[in-house]
Amino acid sequence: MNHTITNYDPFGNASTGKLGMWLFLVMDALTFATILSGGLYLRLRTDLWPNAGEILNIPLTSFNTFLLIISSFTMVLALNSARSKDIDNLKLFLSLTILGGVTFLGIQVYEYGHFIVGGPALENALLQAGFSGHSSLTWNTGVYGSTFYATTSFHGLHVLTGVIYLSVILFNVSKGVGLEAYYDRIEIAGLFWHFVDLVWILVFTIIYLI
Amino acid sequence: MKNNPKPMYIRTTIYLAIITIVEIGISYWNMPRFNQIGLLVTLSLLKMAFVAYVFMHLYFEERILRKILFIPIPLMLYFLLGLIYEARFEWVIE
Repeated sequence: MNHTITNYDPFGNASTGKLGMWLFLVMDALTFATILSGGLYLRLRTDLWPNAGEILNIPLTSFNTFLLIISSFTMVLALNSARSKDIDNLKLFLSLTILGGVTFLGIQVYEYGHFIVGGPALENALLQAGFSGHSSLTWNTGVYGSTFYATTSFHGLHVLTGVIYLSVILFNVSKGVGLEAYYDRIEIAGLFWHFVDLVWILVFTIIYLI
Repeated sequence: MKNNPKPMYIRTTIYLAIITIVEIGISYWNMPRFNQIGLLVTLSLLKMAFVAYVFMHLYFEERILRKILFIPIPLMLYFLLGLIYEARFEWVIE
């Protein structure tokens, strides 16, 4: 009697590295969920919470949102170029993705600087929101300030990690690494970058728009 | 995966941009708070689904991987509902 043993892989063509990244992203998503749920809980427990746009700059942050969407688009184009072994376009799209991330971080640093330095306009906005005696929005500006900085800075650290990660990939591609073996690593780095975009969608909605 | 997924990527990017514009409009629109929050959360979940399924290629992965990834979501929602319930109602134990 002949027995045929088939090499069945329930995960199809997904490599162990890719599965590892997916599991890491699930854990990371739960960390973000905990931070956002905690913020929501604190928000429901306190009366002192400004309305959308009262203190935070929605147009500027909307620009940042578009930036991350476009950088996700350039990342999939980079992966597409890697698949077709088009090194020049791969380098171009990876560079554009990194540029998008760096610009996002630059705008976030500008936003933080604006809030920490403060000024009469911000003081007035804070006063209208109920924060009397505050001329700047810092970590100590009530539960609101703590929640805002905890959530956005944790996401910002992810963007920074993504920029460093993609820069290493770009460096190795520029050195002439074989794309046949390296494609999987580019795809894994892309997963991380898209996750950063995915989380920002929720952070933008909960922190800035609601 | 499709041989040339570029048009699908372009369409997804356009959808994401349009939904973001709609979201910003809703945030400025004077409407009942409950409706506003419901709309914004629904739209952001739609955007997240686009990113996960198209950009992260979840659509092309095996079903078992998708199942593994979606198992924590009901647990997270249960945790979230518990928190909201706890935040809104105070229990007095005598």
